[in-house]
Amino acid sequence: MDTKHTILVVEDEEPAALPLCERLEKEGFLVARANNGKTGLAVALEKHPDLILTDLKMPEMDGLEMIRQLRTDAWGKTAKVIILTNLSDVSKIEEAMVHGTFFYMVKGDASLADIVQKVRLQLS
Amino acid sequence: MIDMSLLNTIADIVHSPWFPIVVVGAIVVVGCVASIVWFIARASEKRNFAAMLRKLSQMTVKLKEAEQIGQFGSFAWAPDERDSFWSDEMFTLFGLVPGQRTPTLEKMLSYVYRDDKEKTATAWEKIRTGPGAFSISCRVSGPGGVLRYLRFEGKSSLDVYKRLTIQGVAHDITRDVEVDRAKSEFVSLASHQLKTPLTAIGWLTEGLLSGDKGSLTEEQRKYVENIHTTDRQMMAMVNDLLNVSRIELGTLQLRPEDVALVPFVDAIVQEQKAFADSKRVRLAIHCDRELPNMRADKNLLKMIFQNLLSNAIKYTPENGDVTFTIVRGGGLHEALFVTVTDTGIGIPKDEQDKVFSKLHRAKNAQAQVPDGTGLGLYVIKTIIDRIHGTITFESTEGKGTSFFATLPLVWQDDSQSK
Repeated sequence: MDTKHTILVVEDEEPAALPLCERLEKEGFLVARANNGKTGLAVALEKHPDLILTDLKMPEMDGLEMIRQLRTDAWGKTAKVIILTNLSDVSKIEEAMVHGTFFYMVKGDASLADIVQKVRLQLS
Repeated sequence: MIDMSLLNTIADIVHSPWFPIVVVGAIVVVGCVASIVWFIARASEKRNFAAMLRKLSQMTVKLKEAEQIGQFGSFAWAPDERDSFWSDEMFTLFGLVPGQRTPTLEKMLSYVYRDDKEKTATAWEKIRTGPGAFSISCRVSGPGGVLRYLRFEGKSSLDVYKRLTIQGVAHDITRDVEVDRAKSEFVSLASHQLKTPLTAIGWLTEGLLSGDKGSLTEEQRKYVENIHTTDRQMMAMVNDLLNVSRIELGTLQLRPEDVALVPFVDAIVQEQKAFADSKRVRLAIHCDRELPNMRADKNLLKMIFQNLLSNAIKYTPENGDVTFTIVRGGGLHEALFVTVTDTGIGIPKDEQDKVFSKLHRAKNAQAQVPDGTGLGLYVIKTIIDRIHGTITFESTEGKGTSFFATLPLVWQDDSQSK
């Protein structure tokens, strides 16, 4: 039986999270949702999703701190993460890369179709 | 013939009892006159010397004041240590007490902030290899522990014995760096805040158009398509403004990665085809299907192609043609040759020299398409210059325009290595 992949979407902006989660579900993924880094980290460590799609700038705990803490966990050390951000601060993205992030996408330049394509590529 | 009477007269004078007195008197008079002249000359020389000293002292004070006001210090490192020099302000910039022995270059490097040490030492080493001008920036932290950004500017030259002397000035640029950082953070924040709602609108309308929320009527689809297109135009405008800010702040960074050119070009063409269709403009593509992978910044490469194509479509009237040609070129450095030709409104001859200027839009372009920032070509020209590519054009008003771009297959950003 074909097992569905689980994607954790960590995004605080409801209007952006909504169409993204719906598109991923439509494409056949199981979707978990968190609206900040703190919840995202808790959900990730509990559910062990196949891939995490995360924003960087979020309240309570930002995406960078979430990735940093994730990497200290035995499972989280190798968890697949795609950063999805509108932050243009390259140093932040570079810092995320230091923490073993495989991909980042600029939200404003990416369509939902682009994101699905990147997710599939990472999971293949 | 010697006049005998003249000889007799001279003999009379010499044998006269007054002669020795006259001679001694003459010597005394000449001596006195010479002494007076000498004393006058010495006094005048002394006066000049004193005036020169006064002037030198005034200039030194003025230079010191100028250094304090301008927050710069002057320095010289000479082969003979006695000729090396640091001004008082130079010591102050390093948090040192003025008047000490001039630090050696090695000692100065020991005050450079740890993260900048390696690159700064390499840069100074390069300066020591031969004569020439230099400009180096680094952070320094003297014994006081205050961190300052300094820029060293000067020249190294050879003396008559072919020995190297390094001299110049060091500016305190801490405030400039802080202002630039604040501007950069503001631009980053502003762009994030503007892009967040635009992203949501883009994704929501894309979801609706893809049928994620059920099917739409023809009229609903048309409305949502218009919202989606307008949203993308606004996003492009924000990106243009952001890129101009980055260019002006010097923070536009290249992030080269491997790009599979054929699918990359196909995706952009597909996007632009929808725009061309909506304007009833024919878009023809001549793309070499054997194009190799390119090492480029994907976002910036996409911006170059998108700008050239969307400009051509935008300024070509209904039933016009746009042709996009992309081939691999040879030569010393392998490159991509890109040509975009249209049968559009063209660029008036008297405005052609301003095509790549910031915020410039030709009068006929403004009349045809009121929207537009006049930033697109400025941004892509800056990017192409930065990667050592070229972009030129030929245009005839009323007949059309062709843009020719040459892009290296491997992008290298050497703007940081100055």
